[in-house]
Order: sequence, then C-alpha cells, then structure tokens
Amino acid sequence: MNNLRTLSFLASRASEILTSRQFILLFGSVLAVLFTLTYSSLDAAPQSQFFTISTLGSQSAASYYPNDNLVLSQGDSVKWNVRVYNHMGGVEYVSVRVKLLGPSQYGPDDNLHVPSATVPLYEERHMVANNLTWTMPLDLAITGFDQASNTITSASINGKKVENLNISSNGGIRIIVELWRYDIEFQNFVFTWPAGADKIGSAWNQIWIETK
Amino acid sequence: MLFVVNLVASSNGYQDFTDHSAFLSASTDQALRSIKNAEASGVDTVSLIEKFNVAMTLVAQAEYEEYSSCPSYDECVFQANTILLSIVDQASSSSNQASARNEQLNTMIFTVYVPAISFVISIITVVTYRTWKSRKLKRFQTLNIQENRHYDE
Repeated sequence: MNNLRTLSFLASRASEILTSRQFILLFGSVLAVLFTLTYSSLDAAPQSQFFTISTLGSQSAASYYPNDNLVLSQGDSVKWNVRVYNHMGGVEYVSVRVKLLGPSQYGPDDNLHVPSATVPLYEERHMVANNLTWTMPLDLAITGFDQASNTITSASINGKKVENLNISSNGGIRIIVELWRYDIEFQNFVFTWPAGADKIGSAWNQIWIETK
Repeated sequence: MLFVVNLVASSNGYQDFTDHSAFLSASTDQALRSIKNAEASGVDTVSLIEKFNVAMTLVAQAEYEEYSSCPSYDECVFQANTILLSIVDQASSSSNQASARNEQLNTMIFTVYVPAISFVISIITVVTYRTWKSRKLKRFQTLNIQENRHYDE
C-alpha cells in the first residue's frame, strides 16, 4: 500500500516535471546544442595540407659527406635518407625524383612552384598514409668522371646505373631531390599540391657536391 | 594570378614519367581511387597501402629491368596488375561495409544517443534546480526571525 502510494507520487511528480514549460524549453535547447555539436564534429575540420621532404645522412643525422668532405672523386659514394612526411589529410601516392644539375642548369622555382626542367636520373614511388613519414635510402656514387673536362659521365643511384651523362662540375654540382604527388584528376604525377584556398605548395631539397 | 601560376606550372610541372603499359596505369589509378574512397569511408587502409607498395615495387622492377621478386617484365606487370585489381575488390567491399556501418551509427547517434543524453541532462538539471529551490524556500520558511533593537541612550 505504502509502495503504491510512493509510486503514484513519483509518477505524478515525473509527469509534472515532464510537462512543465521549464523542462520542455531546457530539453529543446540541450537537444539543439547537442545536435549542432555532434553534426559539426562528424564533419572533420579542415587541416592545413602540406608535405615535407628532408634529406639526412645515412645515420639520419645531418652529416652529408663522407669524412665531412664535400669533394667527391670517381668511386666515392654518399648514403643519405630522404624522408617524406604526408600531412595532406589522406593517403597520398608520391614520387621522389633525383636530378643532377650542373652550375648552369636551373633548379626548381619556389615562387612559381615549377620543377627543374632536367630529366630525373632516378625515381622511386611510394604510397604514404596520412600523418606518416616514408624514408627512402639514397645511395649515390660517381662511377665515371672525365678529369680533363671536369665532367661526370656516369653515376649509380640506389644500384641503378646511369650512363652517358655530361654534367659539367665546374663550380659544383647540385643533387636535387624533388617531391611529386599523384593527382587523381590529372591522372599523373604533379609537382604541386593544393594548400588551402588559392594556394599551392611544392617541396624539394638540394645538396651541393664538388668533384675532382 | 593564381591561374597564370597554374598555367606555368602545368606547362613545366606536369610531366609524363610513367612508361608502364596503359592498362597497368589504369589499374594503378583505379586502385588509388578505391584506397582513397575506402579511407574516406573510415576503413583502415594499412594493408591496402602495403599491397599497393608491393605492386609498385614490381612495376619498378619491370621498368628498370632489375628483376628480384619476379622473373621477367611481363611477369612483373602481370603480378602487379593482379595485386592492383585485388586492392580494388578489397577496398570496395571494405568501403561498402564501412559505409553501411557508418550510416547505421549515424542513425543511432541522431535518433537515440543525442535525444537520450539531452533527456537525461534536462531531467537532472530540472530536478536539481527544483530541489535546490524547495530547500531554499523551506529554509526561508523555518527561519527564526529576531528583531534586535539597539537604543542609543
């Protein structure tokens, strides 16, 4: 009997609360706020999109040359690690292209986001997940050098032999490492990426060497 | 200005460096699209990415004619193509499952979880407010009011 009375009291109290203007207004407001918050959280906030590319020594330290000597002779080799970090907000298929440039050849242009017009001697492609870094070992050796004309005639990059080169090294040689990404709409690799409203980005590294 | 920049970039920046056969290029493109779609649907793409990179290693072996995990150009291209097609299948089925799961979850969130949480928050708030108010009223009603008179002589 007592229980029944308590139950009936609770039911009438609950009904009174649920039908009160106070509760209805509060419930409507909380519902609207939670709907808005949930909906906006489902739509992921746009993050800044970029790649970074860095070239480090073989022990992943910034020591680039054997015995810290940037002058390389025929048979000398350098071992570097090229690291590509993907912060594009999704998986990306990238291509790292290695070019050897003489002092009179143009490198990539940072302002116009144009790559060097020189043909790449080596290319490696890889798919990189978002927010991850891909490390590509780069082992470069000068296998042919004409001392009379101070010209590199052949090289080996990651074991791939590149013959018939004619790169004058008077004044130094630049090893250019360019980052290209696959553009699904264009169905090819492009040197740039969209970096927000009306902006594009590009990334490349260069390391100077001298030869003798 | 940006359009001009884009035009300059497109004349110099886009370069066809792919020389593997057209059908392989098409499957690469298809696999890439399906991985991106799967990722957008919330699928864990780690295994798909690994498979894609294996296929690209085979393609590189064919292009550089340095065969270490496949015996010839044709075999490398064939294996790579098979892997790429399996990626497309796997990604599309995972993507469909994930989409269905996401749809179900979203329906649950908007029809059950959000209203239920709002209801609980509102009930607790109203009951707490009313209890506080009635206690305050009760305290006021049971106040012992005394008048202190100070007469300055």
